[in-house]
Amino acid sequence: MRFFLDDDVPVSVASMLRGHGHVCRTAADAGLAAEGQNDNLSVYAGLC
Amino acid sequence: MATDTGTNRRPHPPDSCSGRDGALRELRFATRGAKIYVQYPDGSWSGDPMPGQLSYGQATALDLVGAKISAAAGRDEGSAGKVVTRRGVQGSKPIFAGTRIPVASVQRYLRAGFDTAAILAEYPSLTEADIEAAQQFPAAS
Repeated sequence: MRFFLDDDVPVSVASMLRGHGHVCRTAADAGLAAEGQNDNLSVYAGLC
Repeated sequence: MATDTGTNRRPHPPDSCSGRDGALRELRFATRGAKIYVQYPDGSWSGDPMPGQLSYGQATALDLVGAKISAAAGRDEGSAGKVVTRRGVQGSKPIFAGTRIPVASVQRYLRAGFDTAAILAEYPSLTEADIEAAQQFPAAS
């Protein structure tokens, strides 16, 4: 399963999901942590 | 420190660092003298070292490195310790400037008894100043 995690999701959650074989992208990976709007994240999540 | 770039090997060993399927999450390497040898996913090593000659080997978690790099690159220093609200971000709830992290998230950790170091480990883009700001800020929920 693929996850796109917002900036407020703790790092340990991403590590746990990856440890279970899931693919995780984060808002920081996408460059959307600092100035990203909710809509931007939704669009990005739909593309990944 | 030099990196071994000998012949007969793949041009870009960590070519799956994109974060997509099969992403490289851990880098295994070893050093001998001033050279670094990288281990490929199939277990082979860069360069032509005798396995027994590798003097020191370890693995580094690239997730943590990536998180720290992102944190350092994505936030301007002046925003540390500031709380803002932005339309279109987390329902306009108070967040730490330069992030999408609600103050309430950190306050929940504080109420649960987590110390500053533990919270910073969970949110690498925050600073001690942010944690102090969360302590001073009125409880959001």
